[in-house]
Amino acid sequence: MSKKIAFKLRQWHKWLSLAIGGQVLLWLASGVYMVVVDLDFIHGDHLVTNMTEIIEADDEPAVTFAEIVSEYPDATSITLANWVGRPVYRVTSDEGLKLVDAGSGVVLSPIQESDAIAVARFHYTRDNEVRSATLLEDKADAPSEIQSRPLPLWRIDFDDPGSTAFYVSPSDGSLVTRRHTYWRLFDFAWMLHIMDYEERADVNNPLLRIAAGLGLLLSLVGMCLLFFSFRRRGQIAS
Amino acid sequence: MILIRKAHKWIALLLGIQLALWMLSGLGMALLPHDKVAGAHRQSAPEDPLPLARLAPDPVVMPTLPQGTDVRQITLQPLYGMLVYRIETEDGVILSDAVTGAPIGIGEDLAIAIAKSDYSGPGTVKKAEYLSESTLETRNHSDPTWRIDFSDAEATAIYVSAATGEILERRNNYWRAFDVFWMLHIMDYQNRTDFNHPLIVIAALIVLWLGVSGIALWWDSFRARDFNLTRRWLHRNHSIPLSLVDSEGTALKKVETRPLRSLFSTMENLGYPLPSTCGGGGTCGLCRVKVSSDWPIVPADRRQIPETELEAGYRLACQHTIEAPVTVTLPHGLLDAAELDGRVVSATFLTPDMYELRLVLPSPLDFRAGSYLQVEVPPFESHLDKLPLPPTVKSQWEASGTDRTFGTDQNVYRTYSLANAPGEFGNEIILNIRLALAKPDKAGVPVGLGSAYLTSLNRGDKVRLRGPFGDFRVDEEAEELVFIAGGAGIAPIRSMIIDQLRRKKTSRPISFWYGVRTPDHVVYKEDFKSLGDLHQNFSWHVAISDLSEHLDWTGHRGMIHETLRDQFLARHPDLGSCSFYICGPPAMLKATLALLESFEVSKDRIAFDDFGS
Repeated sequence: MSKKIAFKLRQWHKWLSLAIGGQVLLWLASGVYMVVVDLDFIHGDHLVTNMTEIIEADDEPAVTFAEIVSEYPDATSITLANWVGRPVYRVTSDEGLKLVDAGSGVVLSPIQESDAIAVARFHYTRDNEVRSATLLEDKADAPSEIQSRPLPLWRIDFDDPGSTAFYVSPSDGSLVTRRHTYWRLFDFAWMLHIMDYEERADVNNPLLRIAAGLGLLLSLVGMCLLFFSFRRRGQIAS
Repeated sequence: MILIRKAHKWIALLLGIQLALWMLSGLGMALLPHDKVAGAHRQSAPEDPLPLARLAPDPVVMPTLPQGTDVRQITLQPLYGMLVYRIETEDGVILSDAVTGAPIGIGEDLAIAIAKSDYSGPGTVKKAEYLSESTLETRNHSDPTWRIDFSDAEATAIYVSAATGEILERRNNYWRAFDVFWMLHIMDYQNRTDFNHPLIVIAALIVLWLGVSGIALWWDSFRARDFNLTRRWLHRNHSIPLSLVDSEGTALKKVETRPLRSLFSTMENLGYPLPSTCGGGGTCGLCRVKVSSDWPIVPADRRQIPETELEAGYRLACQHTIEAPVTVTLPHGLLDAAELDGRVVSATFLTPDMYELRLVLPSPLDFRAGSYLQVEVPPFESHLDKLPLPPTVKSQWEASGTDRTFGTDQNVYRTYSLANAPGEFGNEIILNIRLALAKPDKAGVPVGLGSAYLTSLNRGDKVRLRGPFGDFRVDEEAEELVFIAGGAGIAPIRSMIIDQLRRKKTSRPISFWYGVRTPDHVVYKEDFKSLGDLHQNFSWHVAISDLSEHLDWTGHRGMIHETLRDQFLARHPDLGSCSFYICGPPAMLKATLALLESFEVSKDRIAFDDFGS
């Protein structure tokens, strides 16, 4: 009896492996990449600096909160922060974000190419040259690596080995995110891992569910087979 | 391929459970709906924020900044109907009232109110708890928190920062289940956050090879016909006749079988389950049956079955599907063979390349003269220097260019004919083992596994046997018996002759024709001599094929079938009354069969052992 089961199991293992074995290998290969390469490195922590600048609290800014409130009556939140070495207000309203110089009250946004490059340089840890600066306005032209981040964005490309790209928001002048080759590979591995080839975000997609079910079945059948594969000698006839 | 199969097996034993856990946890995470895991289904849609100007007196006071710490940023924002400054410092976040300038703490009531305004589910607040340290559920935050529990089915807990009043997390049982899967998936059983730790890196790198080897094994496991779907479809209703015969040629069953199923499972369905311990993996070699030499030989056949048997049409039933009408011959005793544990009594070299292995069994073996036993060769490794071989044999081994090391990493089975007659030595049996060395033109080939293994045994060692099996037997009705043996083919012939003369005390004329290379290769001389002296009806004749160095030989010369032709066949008045029994190497067997055919001896009067040993 047991060998009949073993025979059936082996057939199942064989055909299941044909159905899902390729994906299992992709899961393993993409998984290996994701665990082997350090996540902080993937995030590009080594590429950025000056991420927690302080504001000079002793000197009250020339333009006060009260003045900003009366200047922008629709504002729903106002933040005083350091921007490339000078104090600024980030003013949020239902019209979006504005960057206001805290010294003069001048509206700095939307920031221009030279300012965007300055922001990128301010945060970039290396000396490599900026290769190009592009204002991304249209979703259709934007690379998928910005994911769901709202446009417009300045894309600043550096001439470095990791093809680093910094994304700077024109409306509040902040460094939104950074990308490099290893992040892009990670993102590709992630896509292979969750089998969402379009958005690379949906972990509940039906394809993944079916594939994971088959993969589980394959590995469970395989485990049962171990019992037979390691048995030295059984009964002659069942 | 066998190495890959082994690697696959051992990695699976080591880390198969982890792969199954990855699959299980991956499936679990794929099945749990993400919006529920995130608690989004119980989150009320955020209201449009009110402009600050509506909340603010004119003018707002400037924030009171903490002393002794650097400030990163200050945000003027609404918080549950109040206007507050959120001051982010190097040491954390503090809130201060933008109207009065007083610091604001998040108390229980405010925390509950904030949590309730965020919650859209049917539950009510069950409990509020202040947590000064982060827990597994708030592990990404360092703030002290308020945990607000709601009485709903999924046990929602909303975490409100005790410093900023922000909603930090929305946890529920979907998330908790997800988090267990996540933990299993990334193998960080403590903090459930890090997936770059050595344990998972090592596990992933090893299991990757489980996948790679698994894919590589496709080439070993699939046949082209597996993918011929149109053919499968066209043949789905066809049936193929299969006849099952036993060793005597008696039809056991004639059935119509479904096509393209494995012979192994077909036999099982017919009620003849073949032995197997690997369950169709082609690695145990027990399901060997005789079908037809026309059947293709797959790699697993080659690993498990010696060449001579492959030529005779033996195949592993689990590796073949039935594609055309076939006759399956079951070796005698296959289905009810017993397992025997023998112990080595002695091993005596009878000739330079053949020795007699004497084994003792727990009880006398009941068998038919001419039968054979299957010997289990367990995984082993050995070297020529470890073998207790006579010097002449050793030098012959070295001269032949046979590999000095030998062994197997899996069980293999080899068959040997019983050389003794039933009951001849009580509990003891004898097997004739010819040491299979390389031919002069094939230096470097491995030694025959079965013979080398048996050579390595010592007195008292255990040998696992199965049997007896066998189709080779004496016709008790025949008037005259003619035995023809070549080299190591002597074993079943000796058994039959002694059985006929001593036990059955037959008075039928018996002649024995024995072909060997040199006089040194003649074995059991004394036995045959005394039989000839005692029994008037027995005569024996030896022919020497290699004469160059043995000029003092006065007996027959040449091939044994030539001697048989000249001395017996050509002179016999009534060949129709004779039955012939032949065992020997393939070339000798072939020549003898052709000779008998030329003398028009009917096939049903010829029996031979085609194992060639």
